[in-house]
Amino acid sequence: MEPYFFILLFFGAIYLLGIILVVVTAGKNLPPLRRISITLRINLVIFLLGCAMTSVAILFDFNYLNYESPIPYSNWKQIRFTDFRGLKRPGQSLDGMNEFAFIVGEMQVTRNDKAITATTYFFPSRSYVYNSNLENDYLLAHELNHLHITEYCARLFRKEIKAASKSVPDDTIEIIKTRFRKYDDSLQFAYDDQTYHSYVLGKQKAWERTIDSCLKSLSEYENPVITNR
Amino acid sequence: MSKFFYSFLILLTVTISGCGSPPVDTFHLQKKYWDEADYDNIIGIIQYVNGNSGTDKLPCYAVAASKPAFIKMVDVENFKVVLDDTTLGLTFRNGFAKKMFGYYEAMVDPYRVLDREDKFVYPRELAEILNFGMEFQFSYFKIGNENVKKVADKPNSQEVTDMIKSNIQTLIGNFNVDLGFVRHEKAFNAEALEIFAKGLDKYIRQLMTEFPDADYTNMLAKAKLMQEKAETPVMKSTLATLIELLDAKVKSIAK
Repeated sequence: MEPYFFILLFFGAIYLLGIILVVVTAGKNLPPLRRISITLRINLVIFLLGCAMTSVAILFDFNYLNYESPIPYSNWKQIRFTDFRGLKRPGQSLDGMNEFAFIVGEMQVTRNDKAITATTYFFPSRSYVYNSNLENDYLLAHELNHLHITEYCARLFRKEIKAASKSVPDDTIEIIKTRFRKYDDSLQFAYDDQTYHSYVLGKQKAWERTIDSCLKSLSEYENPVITNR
Repeated sequence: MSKFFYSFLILLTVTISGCGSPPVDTFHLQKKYWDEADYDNIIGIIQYVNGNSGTDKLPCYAVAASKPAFIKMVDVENFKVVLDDTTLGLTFRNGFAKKMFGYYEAMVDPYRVLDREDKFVYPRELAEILNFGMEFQFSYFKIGNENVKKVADKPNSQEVTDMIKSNIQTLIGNFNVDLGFVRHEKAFNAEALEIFAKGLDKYIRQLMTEFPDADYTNMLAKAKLMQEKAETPVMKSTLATLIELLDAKVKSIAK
């Protein structure tokens, strides 16, 4: 579960206790109706404040003010830094540096009666670059390789689903998906750690070659649609 | 109503201000490798502190807040990750190495400051900087020589060979300067002297391995002079071993 949820829960509980404390102690001599009225007013202020804060918090996770719909992996060659429309959170940095980028890519699985579709998407409104007019091919290549890694894991997923002897139930799909998502996370971490976000060019090139050959070796699973047996 | 409203505002303010903000990471200590900007930053701070002598201390082991910055500054991985990466262009690496040499030079002087008893104020730090410099210069001169070959019209010409030989002799000369620090052995403390002696032993051996055909006559003479001046057992034994090795090397080349 998102850590924000726990933070929200924690502060929510504190505020609630605070209000009860204020109303009970400071308003003990007031008539009951007046007390209820004050409580309602405070609740309204908190509600409005909460709505505003939630809207702002969501904005930093997903920039709905500058929205662009997710781009499927098949169009990855068209991705430029101008498509990175997300915002960074206040105070967020990369080891103290403010000039950085991050890409959000994810495999999404849908199913209907005839087929399972596992598509890797790039999420423009959740991806960030410190300067969207940046012309830095090294950094762009680094970020796109994150997407290639996700696509590699998606192809592994498709391969496993396709190899199943019979129709795969939904809960099994979810288990397999979770396994490959974890594998994707571990690869992404190792990739950033070894290349140090593209600073170590030798490692960067090595990763690009490796992922490229991995994708080629699974080219028969390029199509996101997996036909059900 | 205003009483309640103000109580609520106070509660809100206290909670939000209680969240605080993380301390500013002036030195970018979380970074895996320091780059030129990080060295520019710390060298600027060192020069500033050095210019205001007596008010502040340079980044050092004794000051908990700046200790990690010092350790990071003399981390050899900072230059190795660039200079050993052959995917990067030679011109780029040569430019980086030149800047790094400047940073190294800018480190030495402020850290060799003496106190009223003629002891180094930062003995361990100075020893580690000298070791950092010796390690760095292998990469620096290697890339410099590769660059000489690259830009030359005839890389195998006598002129280029002579220039490379001359560069190697310059490197040996630089190590002689480090060897000269033996005359300040009393200014070091025991821990720093140990670190420095280990560095001398390691890097002079490496020098002879990497450049087996170079002329070590001057270094041998310098080592002998330093041995006469040395008083501490650790330095005497280190120099005795090195003199033996250098002597053997000089004799083998003379044959």
